[in-house]
Amino acid sequence: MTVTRPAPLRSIHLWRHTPWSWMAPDAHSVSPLHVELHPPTPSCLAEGGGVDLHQASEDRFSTMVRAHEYTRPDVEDVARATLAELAYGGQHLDLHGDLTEVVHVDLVARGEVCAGRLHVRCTGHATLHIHLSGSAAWCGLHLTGQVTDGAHLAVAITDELGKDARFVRCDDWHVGRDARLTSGTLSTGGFRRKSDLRHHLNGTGGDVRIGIAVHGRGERHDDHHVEIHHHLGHTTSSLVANTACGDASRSIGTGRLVIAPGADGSDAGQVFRNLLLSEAARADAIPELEVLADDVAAAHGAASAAIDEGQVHYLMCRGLDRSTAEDLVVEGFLAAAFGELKHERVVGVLRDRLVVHLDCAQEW
Amino acid sequence: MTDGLLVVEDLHVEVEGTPILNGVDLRINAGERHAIMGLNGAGKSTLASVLMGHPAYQITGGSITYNGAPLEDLEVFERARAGMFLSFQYPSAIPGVQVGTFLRRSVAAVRGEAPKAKAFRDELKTAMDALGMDRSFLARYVNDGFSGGEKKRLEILQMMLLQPRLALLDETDSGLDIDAMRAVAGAINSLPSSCGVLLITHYKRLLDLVVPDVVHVMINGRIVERGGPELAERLEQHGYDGIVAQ
Repeated sequence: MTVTRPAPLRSIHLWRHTPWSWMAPDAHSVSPLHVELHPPTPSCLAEGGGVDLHQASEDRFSTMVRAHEYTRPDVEDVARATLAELAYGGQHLDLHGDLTEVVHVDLVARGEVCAGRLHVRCTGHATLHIHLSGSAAWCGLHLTGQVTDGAHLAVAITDELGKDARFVRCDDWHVGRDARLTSGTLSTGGFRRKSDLRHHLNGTGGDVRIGIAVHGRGERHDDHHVEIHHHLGHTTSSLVANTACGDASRSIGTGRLVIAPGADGSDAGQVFRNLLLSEAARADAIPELEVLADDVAAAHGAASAAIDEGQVHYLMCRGLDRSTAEDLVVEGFLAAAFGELKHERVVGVLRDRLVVHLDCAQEW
Repeated sequence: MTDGLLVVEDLHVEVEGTPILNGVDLRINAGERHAIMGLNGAGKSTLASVLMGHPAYQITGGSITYNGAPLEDLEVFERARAGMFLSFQYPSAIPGVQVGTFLRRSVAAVRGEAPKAKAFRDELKTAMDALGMDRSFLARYVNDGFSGGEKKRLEILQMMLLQPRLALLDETDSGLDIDAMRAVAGAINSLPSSCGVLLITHYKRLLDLVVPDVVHVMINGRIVERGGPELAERLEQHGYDGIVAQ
């Protein structure tokens, strides 16, 4: 299949730092993303609780895109449109009731070009770990989700794609009244990566907490664009994105926080922190606020720095050699992105994957 | 006389061309407790930092011998593994690194092998109970958001676990309430009898609980007077004016 969709101009903010021409899949036959569900043991299911995976109807994904579009019609959604072309259909994961164990979903990318879509609907309390792996040279994932009124979904998203892989990820999450989405992403795999993650708070009392940790090595290029839309008042959100860039890697983090007219009482914050581990590494952090309501609390910040020699010295005074001390500082810096999630199980999953990744990275 | 645990002779140190230490002489034998007192800016903390190998300081003269060998030959982490421990006046915060993880890695590095999980848990529990520390400490990030007193307790907890041969305690008593001070003093007093201790302090109250063998007074980067515990008593009553005038 050849994807002929025209590339958006680089003047469009979303594609300024990572042009679509860098990310567009080559002409190849497309393999579907293999979805493997590891359901929890029945004992963890409360009465009425359950996990179902089945074929999703197309409107699960188009609805999500349309819901976004009215907030910003001027952006060419080339990535979503491409994923819709490459991965017609998709899977629907239904999480209902209260689940006391982590639900694991493995996404395996095979072939040259691999694409898939997954819709998650949570109506209770659930913790989900989505892990992406495989040998595909290009991988695309459209992840949509709905956290219904009063529900709480906590998601950990990790990957171990090949070091030459390109990865496009689009998210569209909708959070209902008094519902909470807790989302942690550990971005470590692939050579070039573009993530466009959008979150919509659609009901009062809704809460979104996002933590993103990015580890750059070699010439890895990682671009995370994160949007949070407060459509109604008395909603809360937080975003913490920590990036550690080594070698000649490049990272871009852009945030877009939109508080709609009348969404008074909203409380939102976003922080981007970059740790530069080498002279050639480069990281940009661009948080943006669009506050259209009067009575809100909204904060944003960005900081870039080299590794703190005071921290390294302190650890060396405790017997760690310089290399081990620096690795521990990096590990801590990345893990700190998940501190604000305040969700033990999700943080545990992400921290475990981080430690494994860093152990392997030493031999990379 | 080179068989002392720590022997500092005519030590001169500067930072970016500014002299800080101007000929310090100090000898600590195994099992001895020494205290250094002095005005702010006298060079007490600099001495502790230099002993631990802080890279910001340049040694421009003199020598330091630890356990019979030149200390300059050892990297910072090698000094720690050789049994030197510095309790920092202002310990660094390391966000994202949990106290429990940090302690286990540090103990493994200094002892040369990872401690057995259960034995380490027991050891940790005993030490934390002695210091009145809650178990929730272990899940917190190292010194991140800690109060002054919590930082000092964590420093002493590390000292107890690392079992040093020479403990350099830089104003460990500052920021501590009376109960915490007693707990910290108890920890220092329970160090092995062969452990040398160098206490840097402004206050006699710690020296009432941890009685030093020798009290040194440092002024302008030099040790200008030495004595027994009675010297601390004299400083408490009369201050440094008389010594400075001399």
